[in-house]
Amino acid sequence: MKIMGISALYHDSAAVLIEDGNIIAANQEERFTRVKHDSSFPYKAINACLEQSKTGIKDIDVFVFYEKPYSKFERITETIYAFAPKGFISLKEFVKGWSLKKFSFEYNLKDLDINPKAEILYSSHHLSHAASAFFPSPFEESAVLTVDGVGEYSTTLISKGIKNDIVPLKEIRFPHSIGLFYSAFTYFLGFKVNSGEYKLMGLAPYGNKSRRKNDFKEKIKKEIMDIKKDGSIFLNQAYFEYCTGNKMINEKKFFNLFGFKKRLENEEINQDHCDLALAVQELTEEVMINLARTARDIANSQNLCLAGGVALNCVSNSKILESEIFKNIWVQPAAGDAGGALGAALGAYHIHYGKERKLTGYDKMKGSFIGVEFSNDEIKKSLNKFEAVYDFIEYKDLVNLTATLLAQGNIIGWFQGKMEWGPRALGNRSILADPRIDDIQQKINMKIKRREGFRPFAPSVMEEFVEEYFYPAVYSPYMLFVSYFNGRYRNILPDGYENMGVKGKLEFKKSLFPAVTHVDFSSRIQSVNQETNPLFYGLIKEFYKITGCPMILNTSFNLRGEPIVATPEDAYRCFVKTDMDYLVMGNFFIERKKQKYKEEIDLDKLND
Amino acid sequence: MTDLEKEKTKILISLGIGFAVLYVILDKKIFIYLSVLSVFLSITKTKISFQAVNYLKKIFNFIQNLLFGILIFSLYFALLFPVSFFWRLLNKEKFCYFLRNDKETFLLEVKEKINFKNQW
Repeated sequence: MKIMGISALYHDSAAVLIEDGNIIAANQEERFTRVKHDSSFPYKAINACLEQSKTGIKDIDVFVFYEKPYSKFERITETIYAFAPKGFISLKEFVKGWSLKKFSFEYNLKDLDINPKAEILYSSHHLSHAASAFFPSPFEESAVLTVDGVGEYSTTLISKGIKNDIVPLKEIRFPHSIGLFYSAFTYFLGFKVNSGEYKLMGLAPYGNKSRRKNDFKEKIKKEIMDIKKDGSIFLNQAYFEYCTGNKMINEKKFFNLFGFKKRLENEEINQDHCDLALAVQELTEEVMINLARTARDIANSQNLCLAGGVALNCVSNSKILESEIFKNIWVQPAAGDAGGALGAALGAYHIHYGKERKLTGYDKMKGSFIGVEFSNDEIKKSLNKFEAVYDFIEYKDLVNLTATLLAQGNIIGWFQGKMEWGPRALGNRSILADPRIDDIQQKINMKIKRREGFRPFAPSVMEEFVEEYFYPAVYSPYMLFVSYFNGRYRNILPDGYENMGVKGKLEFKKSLFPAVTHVDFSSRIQSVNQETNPLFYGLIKEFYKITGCPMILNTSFNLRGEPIVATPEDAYRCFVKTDMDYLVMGNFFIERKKQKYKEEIDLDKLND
Repeated sequence: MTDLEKEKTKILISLGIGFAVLYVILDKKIFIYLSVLSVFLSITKTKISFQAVNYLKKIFNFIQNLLFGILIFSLYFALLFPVSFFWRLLNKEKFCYFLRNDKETFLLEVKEKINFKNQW
């Protein structure tokens, strides 16, 4: 039975193809349209899944949409009723954006010439998240916690997963949402909603554990968010405008409460911003830990599966892990709305059709390498189109050469095999560098990715070395947990470190691996194992042989504001536009200095 | 015909139709004149600058937005606002959940049964 799950029309559209419960292909629309968080119907992602699996559209037996559009419509209407007469702007925006294409899954499917006998099903938003977390997990039974902005009504759902079934138990409903709370502060701190949340998370460690931060926390708890013992929350709607207007917050009220205005996008970040970010992060962790405890109590399980946008908050995931509420935790790598496509498909297969779930002891995500792949012939064709200068090198020598160049301080684009599913580059669409080099973080942030200087990078570590270098030693194949560098690798902090400000803290060399050590010694690690990605593991191993360092800096292969590269064309274009030194695609080795096109060239014109 | 001219013709024809619709709705003769003018300009391929076409488009968009605003405003206060009172009376629990912090917990039992068949 072939089932296609689709998430679309809000943000992060995606398509996933499963066959008899096995994940065959999964792609996000943004990677092909090159529009970050693209919400349009994922025609290109669907085609990519079909081509990848050599399946025709007519061979698909079932199409499943990841949420219920009418329920969502009903929630919007009820919100207008509840807030009348305040909701006029919200209604106007809603009606303005209304179109049949936006609200009808079936209407969009008509363009695809599907099999008329194909069944069309609808999951619900949080059930899709829950299914994406539980069914691919290695657990036979588990508590399932899904937390995000909002779906139809739910903003948080606690369920119990058993074998091939999921039983929803408790939920928090709109407008009380920890996801929207986090997004509201993301907005207030000058980042984009639905995409800048991880920037807030990255900014939080620059905050001081000071009275100011505690004041912020107290104010938020007293005025904005009441946290109940069981992790449920009440959000005081006087401070928010997402129900009644076209903004997240009431800026005037926020200003009166915190004493400073909403930060503008390019405004300099000051200590107030950092302290507030830390306060918000700590409160989110408090809520998540309380929710996890409640989930354990009502689902009565030692295992936890997590999904939903908030589950991408790796710091909060780690706090749950450290709290030892659960023995085992598994997080869906595409925890955001894209992952809903996978959950919808798996949910239909196991719950609706009642098909058995086979457990192997491992998760079923195949290392999250389930996206599009390009052969050497295809890569060569693309390179020739750009008149690129390249060498073909056998893998053994290629790995050795790349590791040597990394050790010499070069920054290398690494494009191999199947594209990652989810927002993290895990070694197939990555930019790599030596994490021991002092200024490499600034260089990659400013000259390669052209993004904010404060943002940290992650290390990919050979799995067997995690315990030696990090505490706690977490198994984190999808970069969804943070860990801290062990004491012997840290440098002693100077007096007055807390008062050094963002720039001072950023520039201070915090460990022997400064490029991947955040200001609080934390690191969002990826533990790499030989079975899941032998080539990438081999590269780190080679780097280790040369340098004695079992980790490399790994960041996503993209520019600021762009999605991760999907095709060889995207990769070459990104390579030429930035200051990367080398690009390795399949067996092809491309040196920047030899390229005809260097900077400021409109490579898009060469696309046809 | 160049791409720019094609684009201009397309905009002018759309404006012609748009102004005609406005004439039907508002019964103001000015709109039928503007409609005829737009169609005339598109048919005769009179040399008109792109800027002038854009001004015409801006006028149309302004009137369209104004009408849209009035329509939604009327809909809101004539229909949704009065209905909201009944909704509040009939759904007191839901209404309180939205706005009143008067409970020990905001976790609710999930009552709906899982179904994949419908969109509700």
